[in-house]
Amino acid sequence: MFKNSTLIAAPRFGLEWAQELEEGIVGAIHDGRIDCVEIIPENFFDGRFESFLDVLQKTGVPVAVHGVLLSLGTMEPLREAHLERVMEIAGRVNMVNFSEHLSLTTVDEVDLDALTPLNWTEEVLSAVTEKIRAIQKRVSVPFLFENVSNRFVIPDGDYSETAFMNELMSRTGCGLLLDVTNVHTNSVNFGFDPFAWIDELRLDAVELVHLAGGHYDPEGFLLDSHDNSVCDEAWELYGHLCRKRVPPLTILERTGSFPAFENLSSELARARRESSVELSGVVPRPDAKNIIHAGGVR
Amino acid sequence: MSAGGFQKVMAHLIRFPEASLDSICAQLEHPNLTERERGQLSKMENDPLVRKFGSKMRYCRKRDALTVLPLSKDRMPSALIDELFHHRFEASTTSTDFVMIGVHFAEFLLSDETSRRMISSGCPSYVPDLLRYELAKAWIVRQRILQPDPALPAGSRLAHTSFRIVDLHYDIPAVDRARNQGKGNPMEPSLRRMKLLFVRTSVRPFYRMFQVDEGLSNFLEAQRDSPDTWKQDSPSCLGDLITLGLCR
Repeated sequence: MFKNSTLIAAPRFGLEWAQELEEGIVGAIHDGRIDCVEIIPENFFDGRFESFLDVLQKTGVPVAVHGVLLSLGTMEPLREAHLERVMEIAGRVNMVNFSEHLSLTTVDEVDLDALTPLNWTEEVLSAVTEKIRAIQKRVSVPFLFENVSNRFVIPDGDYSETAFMNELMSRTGCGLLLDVTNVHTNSVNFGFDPFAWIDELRLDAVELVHLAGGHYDPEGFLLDSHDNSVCDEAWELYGHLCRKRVPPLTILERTGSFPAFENLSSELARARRESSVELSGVVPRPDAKNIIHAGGVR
Repeated sequence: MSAGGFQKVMAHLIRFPEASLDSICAQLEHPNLTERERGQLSKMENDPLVRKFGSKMRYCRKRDALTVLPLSKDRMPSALIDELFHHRFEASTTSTDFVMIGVHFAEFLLSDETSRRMISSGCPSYVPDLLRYELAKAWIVRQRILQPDPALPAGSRLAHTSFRIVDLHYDIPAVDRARNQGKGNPMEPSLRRMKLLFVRTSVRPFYRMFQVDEGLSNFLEAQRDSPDTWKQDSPSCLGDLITLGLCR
């Protein structure tokens, strides 16, 4: 059982905010093409892009708040001042869950400038567990962590990545933001079966899925660059997941090389089609006729 | 609680991709590492993906810093820029503010004695003026992302919420105009003393620039230093300020 799962009426599909997409997102909210939005709260610090927060507040659209700079994976205490700034932004919208990356961005005042992999050891697991528990005390919505695309792998840890993630969910009761594109990216770069990798996870904890497209660098390393359409392999992984559990929220991430907004709408439409599976085995709670925990009984 | 020794060392391996594990451990005064951690870090030291990741982040920092220094960049040897950025500036700080990194880099070059000597011996004499000009522009546009100047008191008669004054010996605005007009090779500025006043605005390009005289410059700096006298009239300079649209 997981704490405070995202209670949301039927699966929802939306986009991550980018300034270049704002006009399209606002229009799509109003005409129903998207029914949820994700924001990176750090983008709105210091009064930036306030008008979009106003739109979100007025429309009441469900918002996934997805932080990037809490540096969850360090041995240091939780960055409480940063969390407070995040919560100031989150308080202005209809936040349905709060997520962060299972990675490092700053260690002891050394900025790493990108999401950096963790060493999957018991020591790190304990530290991250404590941080997540502290976040859960502060935040009134479900907390999720996200699997990242690994720029390298730290050898000789105590756990595999999926075992680390499962143990973390077990100890904290938090949920999972499963980035299927990151799973595909890592499987290409480090050579493993992405379907089996997903099957190792506690899928009933998946509350949100990210889909994005990347590109190969000149050395043939696949980057999670969010500047391309979602590739077929990522769609296959998404379909594979949805046959086991349809996530409450699916967010398409596009932060570069922006196409016409209709292209993004088409990708979201495909996500809706891919997730339209028979909800066999789902038992609606008798006291909540209109709320379905897609994919399983809690 | 300080960061675990392993993570500290790993962070330095990434931040300084050319450094050896031994030199990093020595610099960090030999952090407490288990045998397994030492083994992991040794493998990472030789992992091309780890070094590549660090190098890419370093490239991004330099690229973003130079974005606000196009005039200076075109007139400084690229090898000198690399030396100044990687071995002087990056050695002075491990934190990154991608919004202000160009401002911080230019400020460092103008204040660090060794960097100033290297620029003086390796670049045309007007390069410091280029840096001062571009620094002022970048600072006023980015100033902590739209925050008002903390030195200006509440109720100030100044129409704009922040200003910056820069002294130049060379006509850098002419060089900037030529660049904006796409005029071929970078031109050399002529010798011409001027004081420029930069103020922030809310519309593109988010700054206005005025050439001011010594009197106006001194008045503004004095008012900034003495906020109690800011609301008092000063007949001659105030008129100039109102004419320029700087004062209510």
